[in-house]
Amino acid sequence: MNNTNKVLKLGQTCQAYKIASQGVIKKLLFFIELSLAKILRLASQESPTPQANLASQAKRPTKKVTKKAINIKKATGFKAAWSIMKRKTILFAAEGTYPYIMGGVSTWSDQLIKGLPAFDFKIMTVVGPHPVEVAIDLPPNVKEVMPVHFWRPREEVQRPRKEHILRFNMLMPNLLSFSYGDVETFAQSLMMLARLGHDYDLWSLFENRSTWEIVRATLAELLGAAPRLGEVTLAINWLKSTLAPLLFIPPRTDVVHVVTNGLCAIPAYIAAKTYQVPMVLTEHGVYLRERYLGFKAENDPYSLKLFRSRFYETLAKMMYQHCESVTSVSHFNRYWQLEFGAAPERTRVIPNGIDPVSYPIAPVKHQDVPTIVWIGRVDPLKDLETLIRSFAKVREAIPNAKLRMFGPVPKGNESYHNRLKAAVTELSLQDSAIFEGPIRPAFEAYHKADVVVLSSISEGFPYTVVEAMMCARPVVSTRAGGVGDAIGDVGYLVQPRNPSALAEALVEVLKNPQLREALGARSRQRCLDEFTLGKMCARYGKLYEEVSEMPVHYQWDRGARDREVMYS
Amino acid sequence: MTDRKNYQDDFAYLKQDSSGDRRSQDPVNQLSRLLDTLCVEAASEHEIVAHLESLGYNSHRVQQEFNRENVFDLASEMFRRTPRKIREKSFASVEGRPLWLRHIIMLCAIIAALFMSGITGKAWVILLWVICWSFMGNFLIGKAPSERPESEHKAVTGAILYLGLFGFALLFMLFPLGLRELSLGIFWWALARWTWQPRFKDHHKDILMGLVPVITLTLALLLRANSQLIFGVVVITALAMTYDLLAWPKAAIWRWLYQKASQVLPVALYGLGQGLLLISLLRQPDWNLIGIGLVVMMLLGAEHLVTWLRHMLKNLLWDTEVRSRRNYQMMVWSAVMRYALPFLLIFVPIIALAVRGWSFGSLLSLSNFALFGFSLACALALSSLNDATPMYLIFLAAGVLSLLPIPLVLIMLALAIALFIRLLWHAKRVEYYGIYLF
Repeated sequence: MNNTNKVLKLGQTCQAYKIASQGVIKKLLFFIELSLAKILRLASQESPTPQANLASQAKRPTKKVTKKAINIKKATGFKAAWSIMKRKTILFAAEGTYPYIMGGVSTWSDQLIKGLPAFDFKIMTVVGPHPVEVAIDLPPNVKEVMPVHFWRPREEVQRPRKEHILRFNMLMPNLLSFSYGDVETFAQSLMMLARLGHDYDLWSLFENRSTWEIVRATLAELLGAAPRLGEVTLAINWLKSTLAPLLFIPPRTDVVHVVTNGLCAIPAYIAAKTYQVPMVLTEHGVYLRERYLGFKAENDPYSLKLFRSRFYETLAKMMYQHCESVTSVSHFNRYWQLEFGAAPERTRVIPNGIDPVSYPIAPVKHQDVPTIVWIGRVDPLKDLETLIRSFAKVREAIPNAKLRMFGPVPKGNESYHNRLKAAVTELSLQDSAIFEGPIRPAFEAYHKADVVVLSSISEGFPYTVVEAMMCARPVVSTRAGGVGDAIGDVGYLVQPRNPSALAEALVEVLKNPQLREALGARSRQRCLDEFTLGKMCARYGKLYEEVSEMPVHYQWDRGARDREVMYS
Repeated sequence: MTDRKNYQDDFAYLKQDSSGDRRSQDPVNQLSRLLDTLCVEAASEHEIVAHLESLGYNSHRVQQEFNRENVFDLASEMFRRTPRKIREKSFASVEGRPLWLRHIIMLCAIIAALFMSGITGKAWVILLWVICWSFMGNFLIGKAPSERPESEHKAVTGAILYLGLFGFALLFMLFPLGLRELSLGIFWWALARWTWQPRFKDHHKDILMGLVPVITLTLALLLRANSQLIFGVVVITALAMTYDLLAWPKAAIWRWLYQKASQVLPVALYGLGQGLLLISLLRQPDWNLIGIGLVVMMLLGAEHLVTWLRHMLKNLLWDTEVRSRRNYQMMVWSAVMRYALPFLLIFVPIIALAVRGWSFGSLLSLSNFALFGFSLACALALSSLNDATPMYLIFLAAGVLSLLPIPLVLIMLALAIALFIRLLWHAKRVEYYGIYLF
């Protein structure tokens, strides 16, 4: 950032001398241009939505931007001024979420887009092979929705001719360079294949004999032994079904925002590099980590696991290195980004926000009996077994304490739920540890609590914690994922899977009403300061403005262009 | 690791027993042993990091318990210390899903068509359309029906039923057909609707409506009732069935028809070829019922044998290295031959009957059915191995040839040989489409 600013400043000084030497007519023309741009901008403004009101800090810049535009105009010319003045369009790349399903990242995307009415969005979502339908009411600033279906060939592309086959065959070894972690060659091959795949059917090209041989050789190198036919078949099929539909050139926008560092990053990267526009990456969970965890369940042969993990690693590195800004919802995720090559100065944490109106402050009065509330889905990752065992220890200190667990039992977790119920029976807690089921609205659960607990062993950025804090309830939680970022110094953090430590913290809070009240008040204030929806939207709005003013830091190198000319 | 042993661990699947006092007591080694399977099969140290974090190990804990800076350092050390020993897994066997019900219904429908003289006069036009339409319907609806939401499935079923109705309407405009032919068409239509319901238990009403013409026809045939009355009942029942179709969402139905039109055409041609062959077979003078029974029996057997063939091809694919390609091709051919052998055994009793002096015409007729059954078995295997298009063309060509004055046995023989050669040739390239086997 510092270097960039220095370069800009130097440029501004030089341009200022140049402007000063220009005639009156030119200056007059400049003011006409500027007025025109302002009129156009005002005409494109739309009535604010309720979300926009919430996002009070995400208001579109008016006077400030105009002033900034005049400065930049003076410094660098009309083109730069126009780029500041005009309404920006964001290519919003998601994977299987917005706007086709509700909840999770999809809800976050909806909140963000509705909270940033000053920006237009083109949504590009990578989805499965079947037709999908929009499940969310789209705000007026969503200008286009493009589902990209993977696991099926692209439609409306021409059949490749001989020269395309030759070109594809020459690019395949470069594409497979991900197997030895060559980020640059991989990235360049994606660009070149996207240019080919934009007009021609890559699906059939992935099935040709030459591709077969290259994949076989790559697997042999990875494994150090000849792969079996089945392994080559699986690898090539995975490569074809995953990449062929994603290699095309998406429409032009001013900024590219990728909301997960997975497959949707491929077309997003291609768009950013094709049009030389800045790219922002946001990660809620770390996609790569989730892929590693997913490999276990997929039961693929080792060779394919190795092949795929190298692909995802190289893709992740490529994105971390090439994005102008890499954001995450907690510092916990940021470690992964740094580990995979993201420059620290280009990473930042933008925590998720919630609407304070939906989580009103709970009355100060205490419950009839000391009550601990847990809320979430019943899942092994939430480690409710530790919670139940710690609650047994709490009961030794506070015999009338009560544990109320709110939340659904997802399909497939029934046996885990039964195991928990068995643990409750085993510890004779049937009357005090109660599974209450789902609750709506969620704030009612927090209002029933003296203290809110979270016993997870793995978390991203936990909404439960923030919601409880917004309701002014103290939180005791395990130190998992981004929980520490959320709680800060206004709650208790203990080691995961340690019932004694968890019980100790719970007893301390339950036995001290003054402490509970103080922690609750501070929690609410921390939330209002850091974790509101308005704050979150404002931070992203500012980020879009910042990156669009930055020069694209990583130009696609000339060497790659030369190589492409050679191949074509 | 306090209290760790007191209760069952949620991630026990990752862990193996680590008893043994003589082994290293270093905490990193102990943890590596605890997560032995993970460490041995990890693609990289980052995979170990991901699992450690999901087990509740964070940098804070790692510093306290292992004296390492963070989880990445710990995982890196675990990865480095563990030798890679990959235990290759085999895949679960392919589960066969026999569609015997459709074949039984096909048999019933053909028999009913024979009773109603469906292959005589102009009624064969209706029969031909019904067969084409049934193939198109099966194609449209057969694409992963369980993955579709109920509303979408309704749109697809609606599209098929409208397609059928339009076909009937067109035929009635082009040919002077009567109530008998109309009832024949509607009878098939009702059966098709019945078989295309995704979950029988959710569609009692539809199934009962579909059963009405079947029961009416059966009773009428048994009681030798007035034929016009029977045909009238069948048509009225069909109209009653159409009533709820009118309330279905039209836009979705038309969208489906528009989207799938280009894909359905080859299937319709396949149906046309197969329909022409079936009509030629049924028009043979003798042994229609036995012949139909033979075809259905071969198809029922084929479904089980196709599952076996797929399983065998998959195992061959999985167990063969690229270097032993020639041996692999020989093994594939032998697998296909073993698949074909049970069908060819049908000809043994036919030859035996010939020896016992049965009439040449009857044996020829039976052989035609057997060859047709064998061709269908090859077609089933080809479509199961994702090679449908050439099969469509071969059936269409055979169907067109059956309209010419060429002995049917020659056409059936050519059809069977062409499809079997295609199956042999396609199967040896199994690695290219092997993914469909898994």
